[in-house]
Amino acid sequence: MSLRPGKGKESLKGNDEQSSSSSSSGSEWAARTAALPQEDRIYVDNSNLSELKSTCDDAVERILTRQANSLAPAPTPSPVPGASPTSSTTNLHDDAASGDSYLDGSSDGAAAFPPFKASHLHADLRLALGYLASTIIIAVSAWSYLVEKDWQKNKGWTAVAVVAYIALSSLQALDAYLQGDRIFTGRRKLLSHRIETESLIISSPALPKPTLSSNVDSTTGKHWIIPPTYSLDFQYARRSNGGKSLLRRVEDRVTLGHLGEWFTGEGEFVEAVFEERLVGMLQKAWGLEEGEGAER
Amino acid sequence: MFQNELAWLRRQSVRGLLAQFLTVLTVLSTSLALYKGLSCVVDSESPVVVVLSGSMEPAFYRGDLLLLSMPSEKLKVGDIVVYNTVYGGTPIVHRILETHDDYEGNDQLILTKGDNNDSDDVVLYGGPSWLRRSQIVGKVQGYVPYVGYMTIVLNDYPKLKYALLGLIGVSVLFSGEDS
Repeated sequence: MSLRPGKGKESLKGNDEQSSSSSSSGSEWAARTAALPQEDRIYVDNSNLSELKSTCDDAVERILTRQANSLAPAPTPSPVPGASPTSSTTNLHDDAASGDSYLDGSSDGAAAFPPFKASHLHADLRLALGYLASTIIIAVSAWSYLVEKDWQKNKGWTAVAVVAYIALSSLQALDAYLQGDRIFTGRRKLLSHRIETESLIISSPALPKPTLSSNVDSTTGKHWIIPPTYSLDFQYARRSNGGKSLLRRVEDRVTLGHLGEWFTGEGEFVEAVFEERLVGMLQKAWGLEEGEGAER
Repeated sequence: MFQNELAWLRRQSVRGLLAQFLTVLTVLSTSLALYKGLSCVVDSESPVVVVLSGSMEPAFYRGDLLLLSMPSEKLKVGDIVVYNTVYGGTPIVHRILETHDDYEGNDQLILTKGDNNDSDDVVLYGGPSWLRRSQIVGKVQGYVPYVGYMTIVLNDYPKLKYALLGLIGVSVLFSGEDS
């Protein structure tokens, strides 16, 4: 699905239409990505929505578990209102401006968001089940083909292997179904007045359809298309006393913006923008005041 | 040319690579499980076979796919069966002409003949005058015409087989990107 009218660079101007400034957004992004070496830059296929979504989903865990030495390069000092590509939604810009202080790449700024420790229990469980099932059926098939070639003798174990394969695959499918669209499960420990444990589960629901903007492109007479918005559902809990006291629980959906706000026309994923949105909006949703999360 | 793919590969964690490999492995193991499962259900080591010769014309032609099962009751005259010979080699699909119970009564002695052949199969048995039930792979329960011709072509021209396998491999490589 391409972003018509006009693919590539022009499509992102739809964003700028509302900010009434086109050239400075390009330089803002150039500043954010220029510091990255070529091999770290991520390029995806712009027209493939599922690839765009999975790039974002993969980035969520990467960002939330990243150690204090953040790879995201420093953004330029407070962008002029209206020039930033983030200004398409007004309150987001306010957050970005106020959030600059903790994502400016300096060590104390980056430490304001201590990393989570991700849990891969279910992913590992599914991998183990899948590999076990495949190993069993392939091994028994090889045995019946190479060693015990008489059908009357090998059919017993073959039946056992098939039943085992069905059972293990069903368990694997059940786990995948129960996990749903979860993309991140993690915890982190904080020390403020006491040891507190925060747990976070993030799900990534299906992308909505792109919407038609009310603005019309003067040359073609067609409406600009706004790319689908990217939202995340999260369950956040803060406990202390060894998990016995619940200090805070939030279950909500954060909308980070639409995909065009951190994918360039060439398909480059500007992780710095995405990280800013993700961390900023999550912290706001959790009700954490600035700097509160910094103490360890 | 493969810059983006190589960069993507380098970014993958061990877990991600294992997951990708498992997807490929699952394709192989699911097809194996389906085939073996069918074998168990119909009690036949080779539940799907392709006709290679014209000895059963006009019933079956070269390239027809046959669906087999091993009946629990005794085999009867007129049944079309696939059997293995004592000397190994390709299984043969012919029609049963005669059946006899052996002296103990728990096995059957079988004589077969291809519909399109002039004489019965005794010369094909490689020594014995009768087939035994243990040599029968299965009784033909149904067939699908023409579908098996691909197998014949791939066997007669091995280069095509390798070319096809190469194509499948390349397509899996390129489609495996989307996690």
